[in-house]
Amino acid sequence: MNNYLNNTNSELLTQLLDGELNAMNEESLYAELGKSKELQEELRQQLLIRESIRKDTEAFTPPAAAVTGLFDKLGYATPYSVVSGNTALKTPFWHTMFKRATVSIAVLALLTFGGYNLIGVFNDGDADSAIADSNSIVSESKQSNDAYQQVNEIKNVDEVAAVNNVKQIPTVSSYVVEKASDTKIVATEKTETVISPKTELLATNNSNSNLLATNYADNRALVNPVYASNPNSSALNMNLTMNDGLNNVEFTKSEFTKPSNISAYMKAMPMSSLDNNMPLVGGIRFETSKYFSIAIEGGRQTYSAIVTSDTDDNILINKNMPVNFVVIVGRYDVKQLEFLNVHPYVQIGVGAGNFGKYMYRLNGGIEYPLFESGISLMLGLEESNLIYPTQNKSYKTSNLDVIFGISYKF
Amino acid sequence: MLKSVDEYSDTELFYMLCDDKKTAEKAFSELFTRHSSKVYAFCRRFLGNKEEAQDLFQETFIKFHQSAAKDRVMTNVSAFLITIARNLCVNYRRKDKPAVSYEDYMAHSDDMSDDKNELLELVKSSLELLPDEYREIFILREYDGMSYNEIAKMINQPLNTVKVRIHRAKQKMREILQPYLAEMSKYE
Repeated sequence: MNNYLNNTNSELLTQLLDGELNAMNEESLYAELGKSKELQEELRQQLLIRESIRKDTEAFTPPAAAVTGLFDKLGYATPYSVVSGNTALKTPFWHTMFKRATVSIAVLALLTFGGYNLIGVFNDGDADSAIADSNSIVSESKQSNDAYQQVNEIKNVDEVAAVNNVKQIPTVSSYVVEKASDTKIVATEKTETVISPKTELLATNNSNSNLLATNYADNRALVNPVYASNPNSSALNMNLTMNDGLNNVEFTKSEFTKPSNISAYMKAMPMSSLDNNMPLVGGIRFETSKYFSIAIEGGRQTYSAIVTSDTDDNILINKNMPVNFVVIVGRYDVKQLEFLNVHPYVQIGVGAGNFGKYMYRLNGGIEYPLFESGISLMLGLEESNLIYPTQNKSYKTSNLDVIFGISYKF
Repeated sequence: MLKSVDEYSDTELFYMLCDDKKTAEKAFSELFTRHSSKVYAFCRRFLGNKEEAQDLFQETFIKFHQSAAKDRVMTNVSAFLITIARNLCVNYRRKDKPAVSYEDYMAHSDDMSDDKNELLELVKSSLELLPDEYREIFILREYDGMSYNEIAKMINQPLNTVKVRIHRAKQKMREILQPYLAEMSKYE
């Protein structure tokens, strides 16, 4: 059998379908196709064969057993992403159990925490009722020697020492302490400003940073075999419905990756535990792109000192006051700094609390995925800032703490 | 690693196979995700037998991984992988060539008469009836989407030979399927 080309119409047709026909022969072939029924039939048959190959998904899907076997032989863990849905990898029993247990605990904790907060919101009411409660306590004049002692000590604390002690009640040297209880201090303003380590007087005009939440799609398709370009069917006027080659062989990256871009997370701030109440935050996060996410976060955090006022000229400095809050969060994943599967991120959240008009929270940290389970551990630093008006002035109470948490990608 | 693994080119990922184990593992997973379907398609359709295809599919990637070296010139990872798969499959067939008779094919095609993907089943069976030199070239073209030039380089044959073989492979395929294709024409 010789290997010479005769440039028959049939040979040219094959080359045309494979996108390999030169322009010179193309024109003459089109002309021939327009009048030769035999050639049209051959074209139709070749397209039928190509179309059937397009449906040969079995050939394009390596079986899960072969994939896991290969990765085992290489001493690698089989990534979830390389096992397709119809050949789902059987995960080890302990792995599944661990995942289910962790998710169950996280969901239970979220529900418990959410319920607790909801009750707290109803009980606490708004800021005014919180102040009213304060007044009623103060009016009972539950004076405590310890509290006075504590206040006296505070009065003597210099600013540097106070700054270094986040749990310390702020210096109130510019106020005259009238009375104090375990939960509140009543002070009369003597001078114009109170500056404390965590409670500082602010300008009344508070501007929050703009929330960054750029939304752009990031669907990455698996690069499929690139099949040949095909003849211009409209030129042939032959109504070829199957002439797009095989460039959509039904394998996209999205089939191999976990489809969801929604995560739930919980985090705690252990160093800010006051009165045995550890600040807890829960949230739902939605990835809008590879880099950006938006989230809604809710939580309860106890602040060391919040300045309120009673009906007179007195101000109240509430010690260890819990605040429920909700913030909208914009998060940026710093993929440029990823190393050893550790994912750094920064985020900013703005919102409000049941006490305090505004809140903004700044957070930076890392996430470390556990196995391929969708569960990640979180570690970072978070600064929360509560801004609120008292006696026509704005106050800000801040708290900086280490956070740790867990997130689960559905 | 400063950027996400999917942002690297095939060539960059290939060289990353020589790095530390964690990096190599990520790079390998990404390359596997990108190219495994083509490699498996070649093995599966060239050999016909599923178990054999799986073995050689695994062996292809193991050899590929072993071949990673910083000083190796790598321009086309996809073609390199298919070349490894092809060499393994061709050598395997030389050693142990299974015979597929026309009777086997007919028996098989009769069983498939009610199948939804009847034509596909017939195409798969027909492939096994093609001589190796036609089958491999047909798979490289139709399953792996390689150009005539790429195929010519891979099988180390002149471009014209490739053109002729591809045409003949397709003609053979049409001949085998002719009764079925003609039948389909009547009902259209």
